Amino acid sequence: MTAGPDLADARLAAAGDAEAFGRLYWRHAARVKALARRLLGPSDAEDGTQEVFVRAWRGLGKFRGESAFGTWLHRLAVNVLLRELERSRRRMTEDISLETLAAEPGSSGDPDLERALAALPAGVREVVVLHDMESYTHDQIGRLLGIGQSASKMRLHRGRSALRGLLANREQR
Amino acid sequence: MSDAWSDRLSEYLDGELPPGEARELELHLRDCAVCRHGLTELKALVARLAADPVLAADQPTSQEWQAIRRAISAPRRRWMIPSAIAAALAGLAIAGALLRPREPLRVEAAAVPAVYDRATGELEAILRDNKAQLRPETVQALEASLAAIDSAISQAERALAADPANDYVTRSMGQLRDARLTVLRRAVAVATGKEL
Repeated sequence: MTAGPDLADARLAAAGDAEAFGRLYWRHAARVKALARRLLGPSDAEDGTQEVFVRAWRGLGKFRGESAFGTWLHRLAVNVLLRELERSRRRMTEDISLETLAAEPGSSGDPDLERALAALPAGVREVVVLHDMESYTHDQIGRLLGIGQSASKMRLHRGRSALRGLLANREQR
Repeated sequence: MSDAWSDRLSEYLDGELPPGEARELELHLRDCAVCRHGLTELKALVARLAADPVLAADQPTSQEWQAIRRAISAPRRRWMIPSAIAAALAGLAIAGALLRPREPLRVEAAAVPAVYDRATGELEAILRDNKAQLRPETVQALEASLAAIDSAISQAERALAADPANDYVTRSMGQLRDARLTVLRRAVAVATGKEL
């Protein structure tokens, strides 16, 4: 994504130009929605994306153009979506089974992988998504989640091991 | 079948094993077909995760943009709602602690007003008949919770009257009704000794 139009539109949007914000939305929404799908699951991806863009609109004054707009937005999206994930976990019964998730609407991507990700325990799913799907380092994940690097590594290894088991079970059915 | 190395494969894959242990594992891999298979599966999994593409379903739609457009154009007063919800849910947590639930909080959709009205009406009637079974501090926490939720519901109703298409407030209303039902159901369970 070119920085030029993003920077110009971000400045216009920060001054209240919703049309400019719309152009930013159309250029960046797919990546944010993919992240929301991975972290929250397909059924909450749309709401999560909306929340990210509403927060971005309100926080545009803090965007100084020191990094690319896409980088700034992605960082904001991770923070907003992690909070949403935490909130939705508090709302939901903790006991999520694969059978329950099988009834959830898929997203036409890799449904087995999505269901297996959704079945990972709290705190593990976000580490796997951020490290193995979004290329965050353990240092960055540790700072985002307020945990140490070694805890982040431990959760990643636990998560991969659980995913292997979950995917193997599904593929045997 | 797993052995002492099968839980270390992920660390090995990420280059996190100390050199001595990495060499030992490489020697072990020559003889252990299970660990070789595990490592192959792990590599495939990491590649599968990394390759998860941006899907057609991830592409933005005009409808989604319009919802965002409405949300960013709405007057700021609508952000009074989250604080009311936070207060209501804080009350819920206090009542929850006092009512000592044996099960995790179960939240169900209460999106249909008629169903919600009937359910709350029935629960309130049972609670009225069995209130004497609750400890005074429980009654106090219950009433505070319900008052906080009712106040947030009133605010949400006013916000919806002013802006009926506001998705955020509509969702919040559903959550508040869920919260009210959960509090009532839990209180009834404590008062009557029966889960509903």
